Amino acid sequence: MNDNEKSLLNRLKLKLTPLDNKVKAPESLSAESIFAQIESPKPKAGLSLKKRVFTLSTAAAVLIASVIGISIINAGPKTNSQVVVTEVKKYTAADYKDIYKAINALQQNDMREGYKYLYGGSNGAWDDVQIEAAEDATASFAAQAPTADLSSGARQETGGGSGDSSSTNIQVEGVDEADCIKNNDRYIFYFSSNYPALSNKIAVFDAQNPKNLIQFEGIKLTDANPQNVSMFLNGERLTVVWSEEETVQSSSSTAATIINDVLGKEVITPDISFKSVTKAAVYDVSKPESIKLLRSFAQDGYFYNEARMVDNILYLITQYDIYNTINKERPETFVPQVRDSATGTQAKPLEPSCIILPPNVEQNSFVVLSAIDTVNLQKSAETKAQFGGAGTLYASKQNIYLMRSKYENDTTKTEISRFNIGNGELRATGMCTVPGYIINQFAADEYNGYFRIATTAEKYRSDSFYRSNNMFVLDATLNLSGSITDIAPNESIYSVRYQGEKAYMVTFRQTDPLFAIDLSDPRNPKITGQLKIPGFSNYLHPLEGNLMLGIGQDADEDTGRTKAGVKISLFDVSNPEQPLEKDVKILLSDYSYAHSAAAYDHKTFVDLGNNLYGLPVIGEKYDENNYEKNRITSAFAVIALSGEKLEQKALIQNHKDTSPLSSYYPAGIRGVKVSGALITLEGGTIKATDLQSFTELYAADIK
Amino acid sequence: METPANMVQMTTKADFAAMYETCVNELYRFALYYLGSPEEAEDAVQETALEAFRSRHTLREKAKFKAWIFAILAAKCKRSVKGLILKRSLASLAAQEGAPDGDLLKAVEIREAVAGLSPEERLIILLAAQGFKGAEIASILAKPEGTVRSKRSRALEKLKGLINS
Repeated sequence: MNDNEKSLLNRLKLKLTPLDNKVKAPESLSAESIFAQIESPKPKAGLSLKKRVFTLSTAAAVLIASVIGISIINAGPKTNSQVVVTEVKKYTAADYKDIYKAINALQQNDMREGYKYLYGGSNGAWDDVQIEAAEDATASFAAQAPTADLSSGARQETGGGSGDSSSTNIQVEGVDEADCIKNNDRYIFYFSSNYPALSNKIAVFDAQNPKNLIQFEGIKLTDANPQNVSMFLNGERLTVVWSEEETVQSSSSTAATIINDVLGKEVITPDISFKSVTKAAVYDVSKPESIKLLRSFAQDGYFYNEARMVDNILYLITQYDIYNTINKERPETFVPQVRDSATGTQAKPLEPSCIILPPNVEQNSFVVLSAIDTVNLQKSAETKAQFGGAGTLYASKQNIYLMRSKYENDTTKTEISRFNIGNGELRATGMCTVPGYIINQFAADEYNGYFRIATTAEKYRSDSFYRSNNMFVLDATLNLSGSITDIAPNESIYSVRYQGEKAYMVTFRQTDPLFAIDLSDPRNPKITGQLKIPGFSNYLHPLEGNLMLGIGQDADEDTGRTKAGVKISLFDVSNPEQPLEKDVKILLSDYSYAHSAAAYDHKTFVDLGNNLYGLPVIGEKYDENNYEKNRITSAFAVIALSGEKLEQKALIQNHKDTSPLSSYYPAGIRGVKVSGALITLEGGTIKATDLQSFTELYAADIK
Repeated sequence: METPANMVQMTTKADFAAMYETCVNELYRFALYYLGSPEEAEDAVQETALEAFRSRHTLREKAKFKAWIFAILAAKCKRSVKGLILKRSLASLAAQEGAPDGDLLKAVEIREAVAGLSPEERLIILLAAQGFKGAEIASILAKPEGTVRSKRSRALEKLKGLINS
């Protein structure tokens, strides 16, 4: 585990302690009771045999800067800005044997280490296992020509209200992102995993008349428990993506055999694995009251909400973890499979020529990428796979970049794989590694043929560590063109936003410098100015007129401990040498704590048009004397921008405040604008609100 | 009489009780957060304790007791549930006396976010939060360590926002 993760885990453990301290095993589990059971067995203690449908509670989090209690070296090692480029073509698999060897080698090594640890000492059977080295391709290859035209993008304006309705708040114009709520100028499609009645269907509403929202039958997805359900809406097509996890009994698992040898006859082997399949269903929603399924597609792997839609083509990415039992003679046991209704109903393993086996792979997974046309339904889908993990996705109109963390010695690196997606194709065109890790998809950007990426690098030494931040600019061959390193030592990046030749970066440890970066010369990026303010922003949203909103938290300048409330900042970035904060609003400031999902999921932030913006907030107010009187508020906040001032216009609630003791926990509210009105949905409720008077127009339960 | 060098010494009842008691709370919490119900958790741990006691001779090194008994529990949890996700606010389970502070509520949020992970990720994260290392988790779940690492990475990524508060 790399040190970033170690530190995350340690913090996780620290956070969990208060709850753990309150949860204790009941008396029936004491050793005495157990022994009594052995002596005279009694029937089971109250197991409810009904399998209830559990639903997901999406509690978003407060982001408080953590003060890491170890000493920091001030003059640490300079960040190595070396970018390592790998040519990809030579790593295409030649045949299934190639693929099997690579997987087997990694598996053997992993399991040997694992069992050695738990069961102690050496086990003869494993000691004899040879680890076969992956064969290096020796054939020479022509140097990679720069990839397809990366024409300059227009100033990135993202999801704004087009007149009377809003659209998904996306990172790159023209590159749609999957979301659990989609709308056009009349209809709304919504999925919520928090509400039992909705947990396997898409709810559909006609919002032409906000005073009377009509709910249609909707789309039933599947009986299996769908996970990570999200959608794309393009014209008359609704594409729904989700994962299903199946348990797979592995009957002749090598794991079981080993344990038998080690332990004798007792078998403690967990012989059940989880296998994930991700499905995509394309529907005709030209008549939402009667929706038709047009195409269904399935690919191995779990869906981590990494998908994009460009020019009506769905780019679907999953991570397929390889399980214990692989059979050399049967590729379907170790090669990802896909199934496309357009080409038949049989699942087929990918051809070796579609699979890349890069060197130095650390995890036994495949990232599987498919391009599926949602309009030309007969066009067969294209699928490629690459050995190794998936990572975070950034996509421009021309390329998909997968960015995954790799751990080496004491540092984290980000390995980047690029796939060209012009014309609905998927071609691996390059790989490289940069120092540090990324905060999220906004850390990356492609512009004018260059790829920019901002990372936080950490290096550990006994009990202290050094951390700093970087901006790298790579050219079309993914080689380093220019960089800025050692930005804000001891802080880490909290948010990044690119605007063509400019970029803005927020770092934080105790105060929040907002850096303004000039990227106009790819060989010489530079910081032009910075603004130091308390607190930080997790999400930056560019506005017209060189303004920018920041959503995050306020914090104490001296200690770095965050203060209650959701902070909305208004920045003026017209002067690159001096970014300014023009106004600040703290939402739910009188609550004991509050947060907004927009800090982590930019799609929950909405441009409502007419200088109105919306975002979900959840807060809890404590009653000092009586915990039962605590109140949890889940609301959709509407902010207005007038000139250089922010104002909170409304807090729309679909549900009344709840008590923490109730069995209902806020699902998380989403808002969209349709037919000029604000429509908010949360779990099992829908509401329409007038965007001028903020009075309620309609409210109902979702059927 | 000397014990032959290659014979595993049978754990006494007292020894077992002592080792078990040091981790019973952790076993229960793990089961509770994974299964989402106190009744199911109690049953899972009870069955685990019984099975562990009956097969205590298979434990080679006492130092590995915790990992070994967790392997039994993890297997039981996996079998009893398929894709189960927590619903209830765990604050209601934990609230016993007094007003919980921000930290407690944070912990609850994290538990609930854990509910948003896939069942396998949840197993891995809950084990990791118990202090088990990658190799141990891999053994407990009989999975290749690479898979464990990648799922753990993913899960931590998903939880990152919550943890970094």
